[in-house]
Amino acid sequence: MAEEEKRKVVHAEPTKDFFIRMITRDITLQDCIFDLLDNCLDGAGREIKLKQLEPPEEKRYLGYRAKIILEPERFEIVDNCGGITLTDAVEYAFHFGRRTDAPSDANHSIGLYGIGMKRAVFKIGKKIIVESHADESFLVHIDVDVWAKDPKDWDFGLEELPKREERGTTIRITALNEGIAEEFRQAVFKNNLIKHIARDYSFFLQKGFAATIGDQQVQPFLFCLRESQDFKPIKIQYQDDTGVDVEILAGLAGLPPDDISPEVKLDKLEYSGWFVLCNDRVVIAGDKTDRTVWGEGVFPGWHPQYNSFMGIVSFRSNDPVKLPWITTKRDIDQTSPLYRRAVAKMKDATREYLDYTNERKEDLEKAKKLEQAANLKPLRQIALNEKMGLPRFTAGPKIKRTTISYEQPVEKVARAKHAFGNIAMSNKAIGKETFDYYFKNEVDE
Amino acid sequence: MASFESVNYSIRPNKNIERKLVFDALRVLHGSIPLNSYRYVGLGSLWFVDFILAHRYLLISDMACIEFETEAERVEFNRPYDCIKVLSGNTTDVLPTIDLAAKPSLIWLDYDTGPDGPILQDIELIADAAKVGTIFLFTINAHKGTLPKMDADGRTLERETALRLIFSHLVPAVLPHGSFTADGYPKLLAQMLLAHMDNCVHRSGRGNKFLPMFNFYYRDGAPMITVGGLIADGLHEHAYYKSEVDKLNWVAAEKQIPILVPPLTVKEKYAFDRLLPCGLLPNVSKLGFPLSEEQIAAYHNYYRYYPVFGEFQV
Repeated sequence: MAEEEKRKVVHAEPTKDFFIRMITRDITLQDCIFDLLDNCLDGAGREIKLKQLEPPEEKRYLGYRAKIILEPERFEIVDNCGGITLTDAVEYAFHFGRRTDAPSDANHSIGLYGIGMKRAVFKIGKKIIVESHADESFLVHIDVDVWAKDPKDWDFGLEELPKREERGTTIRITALNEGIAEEFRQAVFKNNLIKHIARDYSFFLQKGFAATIGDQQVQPFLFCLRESQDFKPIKIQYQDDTGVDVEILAGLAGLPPDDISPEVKLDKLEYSGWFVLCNDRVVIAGDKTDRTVWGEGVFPGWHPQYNSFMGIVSFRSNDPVKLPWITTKRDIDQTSPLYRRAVAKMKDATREYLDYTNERKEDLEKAKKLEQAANLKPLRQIALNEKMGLPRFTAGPKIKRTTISYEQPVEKVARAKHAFGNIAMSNKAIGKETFDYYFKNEVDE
Repeated sequence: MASFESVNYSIRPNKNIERKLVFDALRVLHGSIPLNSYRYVGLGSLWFVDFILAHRYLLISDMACIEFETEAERVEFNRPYDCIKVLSGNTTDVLPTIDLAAKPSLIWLDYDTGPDGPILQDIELIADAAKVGTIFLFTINAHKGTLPKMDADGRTLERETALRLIFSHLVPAVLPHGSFTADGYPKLLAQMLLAHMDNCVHRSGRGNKFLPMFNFYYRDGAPMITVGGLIADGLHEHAYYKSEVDKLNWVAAEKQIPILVPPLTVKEKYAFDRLLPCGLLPNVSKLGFPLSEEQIAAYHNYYRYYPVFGEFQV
């Protein structure tokens, strides 16, 4: 038998359908928009590096902006972040997957796999225009249905445009995919998008980057921890063996709840827990699961009693591939040794706080006073500190206690709360108040 | 205490007008979407005014009235038609026991409570279960004082924090200017509730659309708002526009419709009516009695619906 006949091959070429329909399933619409926003920030970073500008870090992105328009018929993102050069466009930007010979990007970039833009635009719609103004100006027009018809030709046509002074990129998408227009119409989608940009891009916005949704400029969410004589957040910095810089902060952010009855609505729950950042971008927000420390191994699981705890772990590197994030940039590669090493330290930082939430019950009134008196401080202003400072409460003399439990009509309980002056109070609390009232008036002490 | 013990619902003029405006619109819609086969679900109280309108004008004869257990017996005694079933319990408990998926409903939950009541949950329950074609309306107290002033631990809550605690993702990222004024708050509240209805219909995953129809503000004592709309698929959407109900100036309006007519004596009403209809607002001097310009405009808008109350011997 001839040698060639024995060596059969299996076909492994990708299909266009895989890119249009499959990879777009693994990511939410909001994260697609975030991918496009990441490109804007990387563009700004590239330009800062290219022009050898050396802005002070706290104003690094001042003057750079991205404007996002969400309409039932159209999506648009317009930035002034340097644009894509013609060479980059021809060789790299539209390539599926980042080519290994791609030039090194901006310092601390957040662009990663060469998939974000394509995945995002395919998810959103069928008619796509990418217009760029850098050293040259050009326009790429993609009609997804037409492009998908030819299984062999993967290229997109590029049309040169007259050169323009301001550098930047515009992506305009029409013929929106099923379900997308409906999302854009929802006030809730827009509210959440603004809220999540405020949180996840907080550090870029604080450094001057302007993100606008429609006509609304997003104000950054300010990550703060409480600091006083009694409360000192932990703040440690180290360089991992991989060369990645790691910073861990943790402490009291909100005000802990007295009562955690199921009917009580807890404020700011979404800002409690662990935050994981890669190159300043929030990858995991307010985590209360074993993706960070909670219930991981023998560590205690999250409990509403811990509401108001905030921890932030931040990984930074000039080479984004070294960071422990996955392609959607919304999760962490749990098996990354770099991340495991950080988790061990995060657990140490968390443990003391957990003990505090039990101890404070010994003298709740005093604890509440001290907590309220501690001022919120932005992370940047917090000094390095190896061990979390927390007030100590020693157990008073033990009084033997018992529990009273009884049922009353919901309406009457609501009226009692109203009469007490706080309709939001828990059943447990009104039960205690009514007992105290009876005791004070009817029982001789 | 139920609010019917302090208020006789039928003699509040602005509420009365609102009810007529809603049923007028529904009668127009009835031309394209037959509502007589619908089920009416409401909080009839002792008076059943809305039930009577739904039966009389829309010929609905399958009706459910939800009432607190403590009041159910008296409500049962007062039900005006045999086709009304009184279901006792809280709305949130009772709604899931009504088979909302079997046929479309006309639901109007006219609560005594504000946003801290069951409204948000009830909207979700209905949007998740109700058959396409269902029309749902909600009336709540729109006084900003109904927002909780303290959190569960008795710490003072800022108004905005309280609002975000209750409405979370429904609250705009930046509150519009004047959100807590007597004028601005009912608008904000309605906007958030309509967004919630829209979002719940969308998230029910059944491919339907929410068409907002009603956004009223009225005050006979406490400031109240009513919001509502239609759960539509393509066919219903087509029928909705074909009926031209959206051409009525109080339906699907971009802005909130205030209903704030002045209380008028019978003599005043007749004097005013003699000048109507007219394109421009009538001049005060022609009226023969003093009224502010806003009051004149309000009456001019709704004179056809203005109720006259009298006493009669039984």
